Parts: sequence; structure tokens; C-alpha cells
Amino acid sequence: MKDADKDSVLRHTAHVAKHFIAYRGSLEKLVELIRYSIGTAAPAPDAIAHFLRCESTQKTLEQTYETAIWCSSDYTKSWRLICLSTTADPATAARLLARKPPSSDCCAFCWQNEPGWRDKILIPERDAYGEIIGGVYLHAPCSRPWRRLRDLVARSGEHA
Amino acid sequence: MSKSMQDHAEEAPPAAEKIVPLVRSALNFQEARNNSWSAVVPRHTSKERLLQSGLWSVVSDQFRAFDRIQVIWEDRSAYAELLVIDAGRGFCNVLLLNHWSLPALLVSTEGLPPGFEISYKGPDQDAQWCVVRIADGVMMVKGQTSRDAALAMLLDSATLR
Repeated sequence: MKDADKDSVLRHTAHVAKHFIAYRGSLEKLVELIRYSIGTAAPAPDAIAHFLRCESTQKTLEQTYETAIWCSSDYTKSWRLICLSTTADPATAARLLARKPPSSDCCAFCWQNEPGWRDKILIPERDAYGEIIGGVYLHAPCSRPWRRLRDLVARSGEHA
Repeated sequence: MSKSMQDHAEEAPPAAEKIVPLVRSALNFQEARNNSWSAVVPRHTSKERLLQSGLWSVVSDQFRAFDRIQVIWEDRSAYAELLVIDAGRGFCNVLLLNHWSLPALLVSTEGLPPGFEISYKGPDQDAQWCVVRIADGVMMVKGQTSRDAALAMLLDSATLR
């Protein structure tokens, strides 16, 4: 794949993530969504799938495009695409932090559940004192934006 | 004694002070002699407050002289290192070694200049994260891959200097 194509796939992957907020499904479907977003100039599906499987791509997306993508290690081997953008409004952040997912095996940030795999896949949140906050479990990539929401609320003086 | 030998004795430098070497017991592991503590303080705690005995009054009986305390602000806004000079039950004398303010969160109001709007405008190369000046609608920054990058570019802009 050419550099221009790589750049366009990265941009459109981030766009798809922003559209769906949290996607869970097969890689083929994800590639289809990305190709639809790019339009007629889209590279071949296999090329995109290969590009998305590369660790370097996943790292670039997470570090510069506010987008996490990974293949889950549970028995379904489903692919996850999570938008890591956070709100800039402390009041909204406080509301998001106070919102509890329907079950404790859900990630508190993206709300995707990991039934039976919570202890292996999700990480309990720890506060500044290093104590585990009960009932809040997060995917590793989701813990960074979650931490950011916490900081945002803590510094603005809102109460979560 | 001949004349020449007398001259030589006067010219000789005074004997150097004898160096007393450290005994083996003077050296020990830092961990065996002192502790490193980590303390979390509430937000808005000032640097001056860290040095006041009252802040440490409940915990100070655990300190020994020359312990170090690393201080973390609850909202991760700053980090400091203290050296305990003297401590006992209910009082503590500390020295501030270092204090660092951690970088401001760009998404919060403390890092964001007023009168600008930041938004995601689609996946095109020149769109993505953009910053618009609300007063006259001028697009200050465009085509940034994340909100942080867009804000950092806005803060670097010459009009905000």
C-alpha cells in the first residue's frame, strides 16, 4: 500500500471509530465500513485488513488518532474499534464518570462486556492512592481516556 | 647538621592532614536507614502548606530524619519531593527539594484560550480536528489528527503570543 493510501486508511478508521464510538465485530465487516467511508479510491480489502493487523498501525492509531483497535483475546476473537476522544466539558465528564454500566463485566468507558473474561481482559481502576475503585473495570486502551476524564473533573472541582 | 640540610628541612611542606577512612558501619543500604514515602495531598494544596508541620501532624511519628517524601497532588497537577530534617509525634520539619507543575490538561478550561471552538470536521486530509476563531470564523488550525494536536498548534499560533 502506498503512503497516501495508508494515511487515508488511518484517517477513515478514526472517522469510523468516531461514528460508531465502540465497534465490535469481524475484521471483514470493519474493512467494509472503512472502504465505504473512503469511497471509490479505497485500497483492496486484503491490503486494508493486513494494514490494520500490523502492530505499528494499531500503535499509530492509538497514539495520534485517538482510536484503539485490537483483536480481542476471548473465544470469539472479535475485533474492537474504540473511539478514545474525550469531552472537553467537565460537567459532561462528571456525568460520564457517574454513569454505571449495566454489569460489572463491562468496560466502564466503552461499555463492551467481556462475559466470563473480566479478570483476564479488564483492569480494575485505581485512584491516586493506589486503591482499587470498586465496580469500575476498564480495557487497557480505555483506561487512558478514562483517567483523563477523572483529571478533568478533579481539576475543575465538579463532583463525579 | 650542615647548613644545606637545615635549609632543606625548612622548605619541606607541612605534613598533610591524615585522612580518617569511613568505618564499615558508616555505609549501609539507604533502605535500611531511611524510608521513601509517598503522600497524596488534596488539590489546591500550596507549596508553603507542604512545609507546615500541621499537614503532617497525624503521620509524622513514622518519619525519621533524612527520609524522603514524594508528594503527589490528588488531581495529578503537580509533584514534589521533600526531605525530612526532623520529625516526631505531632511535628515535622521538612525541606522542599523539588517541585514540578505537571503539564496542564489541554482539554480543560485551564489550557484553552477563550473565543475558540474545536471540532472534528470529518476524515478529509484538510478537515479532521479544526480550530475556528468564533469572532470572525477564521479557521486557525485544520487537519490535525487529535484534539490535543489541534490545541497545541493553536497555542503555538503567533496570534496568541
